[in-house]
Amino acid sequence: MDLKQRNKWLLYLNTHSWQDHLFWAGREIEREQMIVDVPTMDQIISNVFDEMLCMPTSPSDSGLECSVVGRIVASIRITGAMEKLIVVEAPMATASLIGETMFDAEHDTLPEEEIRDAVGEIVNMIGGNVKGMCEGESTLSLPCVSVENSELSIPDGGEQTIVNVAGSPILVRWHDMPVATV
Amino acid sequence: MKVLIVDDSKAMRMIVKRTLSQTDVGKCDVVEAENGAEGLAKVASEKPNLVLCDWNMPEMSGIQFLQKLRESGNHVNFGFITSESGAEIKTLALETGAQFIITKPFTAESLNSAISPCVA
Repeated sequence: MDLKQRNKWLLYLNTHSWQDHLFWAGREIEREQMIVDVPTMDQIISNVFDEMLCMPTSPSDSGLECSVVGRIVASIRITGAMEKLIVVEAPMATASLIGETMFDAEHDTLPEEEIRDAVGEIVNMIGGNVKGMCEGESTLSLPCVSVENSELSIPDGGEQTIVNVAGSPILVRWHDMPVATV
Repeated sequence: MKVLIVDDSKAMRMIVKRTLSQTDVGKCDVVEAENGAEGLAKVASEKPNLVLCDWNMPEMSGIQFLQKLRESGNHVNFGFITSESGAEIKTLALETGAQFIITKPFTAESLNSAISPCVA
């Protein structure tokens, strides 16, 4: 048993007595596992976009273009009983669309600052919902948003999902342990 | 009716303002602040009937803002609209003197049912 497996086993032992279940967003999530799987994340993303912004989401058949440059990267950390880093990567066109919807603005009229603000709020809502799945005390950081012009590079580990938002893709990835860089 | 919306995200202030107009409150005067410290000043100068406030904000968080308001004897109607959804957050908010806490994402219906008792 390696260290990672051992830590997971210890976490399971520590949390095994949590027999409560949370009925959330139409599906039952066992709190004791504190696992954020892809269907759960897809549901959270759908709630944020469909419910509040009236932007329909659908699974993406294709990946986010690995060569995509000029994208907004927004991240948020959960620390405490739950330790996660959640990152939203949106090509500039998708980010602009999200911003225009949130600000009710005309196409191509939003300054970059407001587009960043909009995507930051998206990761904030996703992070808050993930944090809410954890029984113990955790802290949600403020979102950190940047514009990346390098090629998309996904760190090893963690999970990810690509969802079309009003026909445009976003990538959401999440890591169980804090990582040094986004 | 005057409503103070406190959130460090301009996008979220826009959404709250727009959603508020879809509730039974309808058209109302809206003033905005970017954090709790600015919110305190706006409560003093604008005397709103209702404060809708985020939880996590730079400079002064929503809960610190509410604590300072209540310590000063101000009992303005106060509700949180936040991504925070834990039971301990809800308990702290209500014990400190908030009337309600709404978790983002939210709808006009959920906002309406939360603010209705405050504006009746």
